Amino acid sequence: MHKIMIVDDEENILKALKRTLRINKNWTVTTFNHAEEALHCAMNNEFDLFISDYRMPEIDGVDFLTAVKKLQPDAIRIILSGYTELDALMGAINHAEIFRFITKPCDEELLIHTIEQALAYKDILVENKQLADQVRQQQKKLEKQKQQLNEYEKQHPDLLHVDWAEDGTIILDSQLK
Amino acid sequence: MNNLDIQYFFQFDNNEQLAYPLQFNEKKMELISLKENVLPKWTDLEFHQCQHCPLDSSKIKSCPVATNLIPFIKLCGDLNSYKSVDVEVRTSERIYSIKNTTTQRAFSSLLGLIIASSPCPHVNFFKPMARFHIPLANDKETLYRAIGSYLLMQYFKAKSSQTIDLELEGLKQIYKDIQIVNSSMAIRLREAGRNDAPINSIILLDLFAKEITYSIDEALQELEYLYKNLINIT
Repeated sequence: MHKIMIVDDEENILKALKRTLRINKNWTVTTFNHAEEALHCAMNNEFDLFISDYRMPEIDGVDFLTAVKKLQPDAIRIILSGYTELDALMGAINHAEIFRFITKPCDEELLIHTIEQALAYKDILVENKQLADQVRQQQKKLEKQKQQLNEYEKQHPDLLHVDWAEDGTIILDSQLK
Repeated sequence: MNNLDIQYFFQFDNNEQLAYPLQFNEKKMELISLKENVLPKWTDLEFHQCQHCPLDSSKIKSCPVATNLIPFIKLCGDLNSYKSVDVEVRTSERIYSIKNTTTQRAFSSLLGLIIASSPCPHVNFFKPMARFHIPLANDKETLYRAIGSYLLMQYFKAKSSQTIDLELEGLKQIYKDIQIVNSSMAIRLREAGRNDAPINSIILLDLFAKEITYSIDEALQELEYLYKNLINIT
């Protein structure tokens, strides 16, 4: 189950987006028409994807997504906006590090496809992080074992040293050679 | 010729006032607009022409809907969409007063009226609704009016022995077609506007179109209770 938050100051747009995203039963969609309330929710609840309008009163979409990036860096961020000024785009990409900037009115199929890609990307990032953590833990374990082995070798050099004869047999007592 | 007048008045928080008078040829329900000497590029028919546009660009240079939007852009091209506004709409019958709405909602209503009364083949269905324009109608009101108007159209078709459609499939197609017009207008308005009010107005308008194509059956179920006592529903 993926959790998606959508923020837009226009209630009708939130209603329409919620209805569009109903198509996927694995998505839980939470909507806000005030960015501050949305931020407050993001402080206490984890989301996989944040979708925000750009032009909103009090706090714009780039500032909102930049704040959300600090709270939940693993979540994916998308801007959905009718406004396509270059400054807005630059802010969105450089500060909020968004996954996509989608212009409104947007094709519903395109929106759904973009969300699917975003969530698949998020799943890959999470899996990569888990695998990287796993590798790090295993590496730590191996380092520890190596350390223990070295210590043991220092204390008991003969125990770990093997004398091989020419015929491939192991010489247990070199004095008996 | 009988003309119909509708006037939109906007009053913003900072006491700034804007007026937008509209005059229509009542018989054709088409907007009577002033001819502009120089038409901007974004009004060219071939500029993001709707994929289903039946007009011949070798004969018609400008998009009839876009041309009617020139004064609209002059009015609201610099406004931001979430600015608070009081709207008054005067028709010959009455005055509508809507307090404390957003610029995008107010202009969405005006935009709908301008588009509906343009000489574009894909908006002809909306002309009767434009004749009985209700400013800032909500989604349920719009749905009720659209379905009512469509069924009235079927009545007149039956009277002239044409095939009628009571399944509303034709209505869904009309709204699919208008979404294409809305998309093209959005690109044109984005090109023309300096701020986001024009774009957000068409986005809101487009939401109604999507609502109808997407959930007409659901919406009909929500209206059914109004007719329960009038018909036998088991």
